[in-house]
Amino acid sequence: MAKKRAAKSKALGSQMWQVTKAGLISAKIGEVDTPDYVVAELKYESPVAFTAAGFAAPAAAEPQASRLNQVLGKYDVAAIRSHFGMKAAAIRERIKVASHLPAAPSVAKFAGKGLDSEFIHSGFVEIVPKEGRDAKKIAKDLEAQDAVWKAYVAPRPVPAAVGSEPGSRNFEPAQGYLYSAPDGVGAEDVWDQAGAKGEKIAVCDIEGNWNRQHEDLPTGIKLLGGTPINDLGWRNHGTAVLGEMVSVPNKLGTVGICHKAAAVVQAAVINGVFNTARAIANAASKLKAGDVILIELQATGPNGKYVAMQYWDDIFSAIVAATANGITVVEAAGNGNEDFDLPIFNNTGLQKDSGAIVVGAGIPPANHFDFDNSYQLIGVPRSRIWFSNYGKILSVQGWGWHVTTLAYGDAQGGSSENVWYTLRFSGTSSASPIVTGCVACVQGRAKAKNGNPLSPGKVRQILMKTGTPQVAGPGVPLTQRIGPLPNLPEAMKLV
Amino acid sequence: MFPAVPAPGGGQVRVPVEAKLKPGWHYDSDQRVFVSDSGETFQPTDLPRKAKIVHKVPPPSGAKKLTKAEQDLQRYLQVILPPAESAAAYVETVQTWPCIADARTGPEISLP
Repeated sequence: MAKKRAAKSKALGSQMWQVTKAGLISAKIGEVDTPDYVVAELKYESPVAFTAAGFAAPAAAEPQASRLNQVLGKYDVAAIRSHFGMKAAAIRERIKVASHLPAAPSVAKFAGKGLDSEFIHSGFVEIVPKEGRDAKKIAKDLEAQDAVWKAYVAPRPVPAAVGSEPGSRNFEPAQGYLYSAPDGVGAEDVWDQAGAKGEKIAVCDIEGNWNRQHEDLPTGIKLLGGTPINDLGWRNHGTAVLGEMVSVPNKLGTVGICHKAAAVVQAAVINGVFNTARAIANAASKLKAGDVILIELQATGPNGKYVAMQYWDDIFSAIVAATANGITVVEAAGNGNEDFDLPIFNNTGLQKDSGAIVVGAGIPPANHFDFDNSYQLIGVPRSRIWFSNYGKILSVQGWGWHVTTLAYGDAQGGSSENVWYTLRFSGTSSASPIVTGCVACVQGRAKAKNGNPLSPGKVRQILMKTGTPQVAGPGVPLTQRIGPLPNLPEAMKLV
Repeated sequence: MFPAVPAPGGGQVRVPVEAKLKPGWHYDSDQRVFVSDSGETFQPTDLPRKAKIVHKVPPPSGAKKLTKAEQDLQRYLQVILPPAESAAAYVETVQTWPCIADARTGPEISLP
């Protein structure tokens, strides 16, 4: 894709421009006035805090803070501040928690010991140099320090081109999942085919909540039913899912895989309790053949690990009923590191075909923002990521790590959730919308080309047959099946 | 350990008792009574006041012939208890009803 992108760069007059699907952007982005700044992420276990004056730590960790200050002392720094706008007292609190954490602590295991989202956010430091050109050097020097997990220059804003919106940055270059196979699903490669942006297809996300006012979502995303859960974590999650599929192709933020599809949402809470079967049935009753339902939920199974929702008989039947009406159901396999082929799952929905496309989480090559190949630490690209469930019913995989999309605010924060973006949406949660987007592209293309959508079974068969194969990695053999990564250009040949 | 976003606490989302009817039984939600194909009836009296019994998926309106999966869905019910009541405390009660094949608490759902 890099070659393809280079080929799309062209000289217009005396200035270099790069052609993206969003339109023209200036290739000379180094010349804009907006200063570059560094985002440094402190390691969870580093008991270091910071103020506007620099880094600080208790006596035992003073050398770590001192080395960080030595780095900053080499440069002319305009500001040091919390990337999430947290107050000084909250930043100081991180020292108490960090002092009790082991090296590389598991977030889930230590969630009850203070390793919560506030603690995680407290470790993000923004360093703004007076000279933008110092940002890259500061990032490199900080990343070499023991107390820092990662340091990088924040993505640059795209300079205003004709018709561009002011404000938010353009994160499209970090959406590696859109790129050509084998890295991505090749969405950008098929968008010039009629219908292949998901035209005339509806995608329905079933989960808990969404920020439907996000600046990069289309207006009018309808709630089909249910009661949204009033919780920031759930709202971020749903917004991130929608962003992968239908974020608007303008010059800010991201662009969705099937950005011409019509998005709708259905909350899984009905009458004050979870009722996933009814959520599926209600959504299916309002959709038509060719449309797509995404089940973005998991639940604790008999081994105490998260499993796919079709384990429960009523939900299995609801999926069967929806697919029988021509609606493709895409389902997150869940993040339990669970083997669905174990005897304990005999005669359950985890060993039967509901008709759904069950999606596992694979390791991406890079998210095209973190260009440092650090993903080698977590495994081989397109191998099963350690937490993904696996088994014979899994159909295909999607990127399960560091997907760039809307919400959360680690890539771009601010006082309004409407401008938040992330580089780190992960899990079978991030994998499933990638596949859902591919399904919508295939069905949109089928409608445009043949006049009718494909059956859900045919869509699944095409994606599995034409996808870029799963690979083995250390400790994750191919027998731990998650399936291939969809490859849209190859899939479209069979539509 | 594993990525997940649990449902928020504070009673925003309650846990129901989930139940599956024995074949040949249905629930008449208007009369709040279970009725068997042979005409036998059962009306629960051992639930707290304000407890509700609902079909997980209501019968579709109209005369459409149901598929096997849609027919199966009609067998699933939820017993939604008042906020102060624990679903776990009523699983055994619901399981003893003559019309019920299986009862359990609703699954612990999270985001993947």
